[in-house]
Amino acid sequence: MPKNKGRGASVKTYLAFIPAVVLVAFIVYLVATPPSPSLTTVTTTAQTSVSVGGQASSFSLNLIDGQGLKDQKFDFNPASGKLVFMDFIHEWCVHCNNMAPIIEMLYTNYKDKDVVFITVAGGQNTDAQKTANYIRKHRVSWTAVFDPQLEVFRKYGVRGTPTYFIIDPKGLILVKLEGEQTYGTLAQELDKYLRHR
Amino acid sequence: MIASYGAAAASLAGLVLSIYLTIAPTPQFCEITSFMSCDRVLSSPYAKVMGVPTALYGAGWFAAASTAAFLSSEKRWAARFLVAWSLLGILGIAALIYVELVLINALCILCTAAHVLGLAVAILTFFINR
Repeated sequence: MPKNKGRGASVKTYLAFIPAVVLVAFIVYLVATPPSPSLTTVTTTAQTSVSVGGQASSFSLNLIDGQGLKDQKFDFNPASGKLVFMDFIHEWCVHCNNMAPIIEMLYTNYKDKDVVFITVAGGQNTDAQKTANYIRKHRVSWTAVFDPQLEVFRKYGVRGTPTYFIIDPKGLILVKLEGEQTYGTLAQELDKYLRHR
Repeated sequence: MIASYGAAAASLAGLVLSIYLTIAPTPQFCEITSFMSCDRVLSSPYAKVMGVPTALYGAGWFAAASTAAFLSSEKRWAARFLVAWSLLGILGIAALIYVELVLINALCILCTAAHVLGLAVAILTFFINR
């Protein structure tokens, strides 16, 4: 232990150990607390009009593909008569980039099982061209729409990306999942409905 | 004496910031453009080293620097330790800036604030040992 030269020195010695105590307490806290979901937060004011078990909202947005934003509108009717898998993404969101191959695999395996895939790409801190690059890079061959003002994000109460919705043929929201998911989790949720229809 | 307290204060601020970066979700003000994005940096594969959040290494560095800074006005070994620790810190900061700008191609302003605090500790260490 250090030799104290007086009261001041003693206080300094005690102060010196506070950061170490804080660090140890923090590490204990980290070990005891499970990690948060891998989700990128987005700026949306809470105007949630949909929830699990409730009716999904209709919307109309411009289509986007690997070439860029289209002049053509896509009108989403929730009661489409088909199971819908909808994902909300941002092109810059690392978790969305991580999930892209999983969603592509899901599409490959479920497109012939009457499941409709829709990607809603947000426009926060990005533009249509960067989003088109993402679509091209990740071979998004299903319906993709661009939501520049995050209007549909707000309608669906999306707090961050990626967020996934599964909507039944009557337009009821069956599932909402936030953050990165495994292929198994998403496939299991789709299978749950497909088995019982 | 003032340099010691300054280094201790900068280290404590860095410790708090590193703890925040380890656990808290990225705040909105940090998402300025797709380049100046804390989220792109903090959710990249480089945000963890050997399964441990990179910011936690920073918290460890700042905690040790703070302890040494408090003791440096009385203990010569603490002042010397702070020199070696600061050199290590500068190397670490250089590596992290390289990772951000070259490998991730994004800049996290909160991480940059922590880097500035680390550099401040290194500069104050120079005055402590002058």
